[in-house]
Amino acid sequence: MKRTVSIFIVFIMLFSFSFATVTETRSYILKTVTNPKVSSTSGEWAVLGVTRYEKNKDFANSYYKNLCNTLKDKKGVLSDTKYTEYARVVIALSSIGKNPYNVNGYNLIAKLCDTDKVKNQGINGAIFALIALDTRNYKVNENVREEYIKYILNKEISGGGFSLTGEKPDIDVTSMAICALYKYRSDEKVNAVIQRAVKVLKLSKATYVESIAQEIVALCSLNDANNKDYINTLVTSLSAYKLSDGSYKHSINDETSNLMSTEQVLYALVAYDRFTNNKKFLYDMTDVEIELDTLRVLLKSFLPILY
Amino acid sequence: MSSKSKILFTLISLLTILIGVFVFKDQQYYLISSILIIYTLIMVMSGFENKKNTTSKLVTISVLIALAVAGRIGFSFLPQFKPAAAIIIIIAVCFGADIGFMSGAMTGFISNFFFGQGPWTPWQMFSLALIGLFAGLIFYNKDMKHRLLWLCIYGAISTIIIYGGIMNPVSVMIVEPRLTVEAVMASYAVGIHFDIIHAIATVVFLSVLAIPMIKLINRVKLKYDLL
Repeated sequence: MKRTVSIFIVFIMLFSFSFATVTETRSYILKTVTNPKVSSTSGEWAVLGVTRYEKNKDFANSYYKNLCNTLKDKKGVLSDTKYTEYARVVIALSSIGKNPYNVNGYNLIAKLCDTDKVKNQGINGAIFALIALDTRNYKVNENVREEYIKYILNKEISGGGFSLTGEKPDIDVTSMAICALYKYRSDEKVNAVIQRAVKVLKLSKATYVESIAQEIVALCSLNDANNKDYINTLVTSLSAYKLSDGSYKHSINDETSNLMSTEQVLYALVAYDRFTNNKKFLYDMTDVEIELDTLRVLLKSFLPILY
Repeated sequence: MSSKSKILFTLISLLTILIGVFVFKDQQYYLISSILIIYTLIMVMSGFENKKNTTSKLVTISVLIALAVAGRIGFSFLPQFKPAAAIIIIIAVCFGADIGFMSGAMTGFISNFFFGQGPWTPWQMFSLALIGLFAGLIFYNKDMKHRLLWLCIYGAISTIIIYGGIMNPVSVMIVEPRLTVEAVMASYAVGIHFDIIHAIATVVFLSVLAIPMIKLINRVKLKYDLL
């Protein structure tokens, strides 16, 4: 009896802990990021974390308006070399249900299909392009996705895991690679790579809060009950970085919080919340309502297989 | 089997698919597809009770279903231009509504091992089954030589109204979670092009295949006493 009661209490505490921190951190972001724009901080990642927890029309609209203006100012070119910019924007657009094929006349999906330019940026480019294209079943040439998958698989370092450069696995890159590949894990070859990467993650020790956040997201993508305990440990370890206002520090010795860290922790907590509540994975945005013109494009690519 | 129980089976199938969508969140499509096949088997087998030559009948029907599946796969190079619906209608004309229902469901399930299984499979099985069911109810055991035009008209209408009518809204449900009137109308506007090609294909295949195939099958039925 005592045992069941104590298990019950622990369960309630764990649950309420995760719940409290998501809403707390989310309102911190909403308070801090008042005008989300095209940017690596106070931009798309904030939109992702906020809207994947709960719809927020004002936040989504102000981001979209800023995006349209930026595209107009820059004539549709967000960057010549960093194609992760486009991937990040597409991820945000998916999360608010807007049409990435046509933002103020600019087709952002077409940018992600430029495989040479994307791969020029290295493994990061391919990973984020694939994540962005798979947030919904965006129609692209058949070989585009395959090319990215092949490219990422080839970059696996001996012993498993991934890194930007060198032979030592990097937690962030390994986690992101899992997020790019998780949809293809029914393929045995891909699954083997993922399992090796998970093993690398479990053996490594994160030094910054961002790495913990990325690890949580990656393990939630696999939706595997075996990882549950490990994910719980990771989520608990976040509390060492947390400040009382719901924001997070970059490293444990820091005095003040860091916006980039807080944004990443927010969407990691949202991924965890979705995992525990059996909702679709953070980057699987097929559960977001879309506009009719996006729907038309998606239907055109989906319907032919039914005949 | 009485037409009342056929309608009952149709409704039970629909209910099963809806349970799959709303209770199992569209994830258990293999299970739902298998249950649909069990229904059709019960439906058909109960008609076989106390009848002779059921084995030869089953073999004939299986071959025809295989033909429908092979037809859908064989024409995969021509988008939407598929003979499967036409062959299902021909089977239903020769063997009746219950067998037509079964052939439709089977064709949808088996051919999707080539085209890809998914939450759409039970719906595809159901739509093709309905095409077979109504073809059987309307045309079973009628002299088709003078009704070919009507058969072609049925082929065109059934592929557009039944198949397109069901599959377009279903695809909205699969592509996104919301099923609003505007979304469904958009899906019909996108899907009508595909449905028209599908209908033309069905009419072409019916007008070419129907008379010789029905003649052939009736000959087999007579020879092996499958009536």
